Amino acid sequence: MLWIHQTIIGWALILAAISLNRMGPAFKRSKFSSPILLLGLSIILLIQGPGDNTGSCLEEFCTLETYLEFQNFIISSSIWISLALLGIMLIIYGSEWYSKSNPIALIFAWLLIFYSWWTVINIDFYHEILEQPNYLFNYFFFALGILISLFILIGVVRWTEINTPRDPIIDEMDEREKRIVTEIIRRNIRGDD
Amino acid sequence: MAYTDDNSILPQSDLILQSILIGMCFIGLWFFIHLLVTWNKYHRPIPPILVSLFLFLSPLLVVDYSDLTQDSINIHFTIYLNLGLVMFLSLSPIFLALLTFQAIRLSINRKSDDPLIEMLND
Repeated sequence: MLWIHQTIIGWALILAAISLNRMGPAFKRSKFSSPILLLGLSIILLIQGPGDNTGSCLEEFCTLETYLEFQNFIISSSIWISLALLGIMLIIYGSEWYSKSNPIALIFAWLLIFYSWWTVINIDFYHEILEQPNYLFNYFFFALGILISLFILIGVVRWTEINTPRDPIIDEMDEREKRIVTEIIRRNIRGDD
Repeated sequence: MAYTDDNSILPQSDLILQSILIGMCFIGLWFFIHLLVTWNKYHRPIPPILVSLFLFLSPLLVVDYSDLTQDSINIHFTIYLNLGLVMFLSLSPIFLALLTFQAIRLSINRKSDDPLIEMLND
């Protein structure tokens, strides 16, 4: 197995972990998502060396130089993504929106986000891209490919939903039922007895 | 990790087509894994799965097989996915910019009164 295969296996596990994490109610997410995410990240970050790829890989892609460039980019990206996610979680925790304001958490969060930006700016690969405008051309069409795919997939999902047999329409709630539902919401929001 | 005419992995194809196909292949894999992992009895995932498989395998539709062995096709395909990952990560600072914008909003704005509580009081 080459390192390019290892990366894709790791990426597939990360995608699976993210999808698993979105399953189920918000208060009871899948317990398998975190271990799978860690396994996927480990597989990507600890990619093996290029090894002897003679005869089994394209010369232009499986060289030591490409491997090191790839590894450097993946590690830098993992660092800034982790810092940014930690920063935004701290901002949510420290802001007034979901609990009482916590200025220390906010300051620490903004330091993390600034450091995340600093890491992005210092990634060599971006300098390389900006020096060669034709790379940007490739990125534009890559994004176009993503948009075309999303357009097709959204269309298929809509088509599937439209063609799914629907449940019969139930009658509207009467006044008594409306009062009960209102009371349940009131008690849950206010914590009344 | 960038690719040019010199190291084109799809014979007889141009870079525009390759870039589009890498994007389609990348999203096809993502969607395919998502549908498999989130499979449950309330889903009807067969049509989206078939389409995501088609998108995932779309680069194979334009490969010139004449000079390629099975092993070589496998390598080409894996390199495609790696290029997709690198290009996606390269574009991800756009998401960081959006996150930063939201972080500024969260840090500056105050929470508005809960409209549901207001409605209940009325």
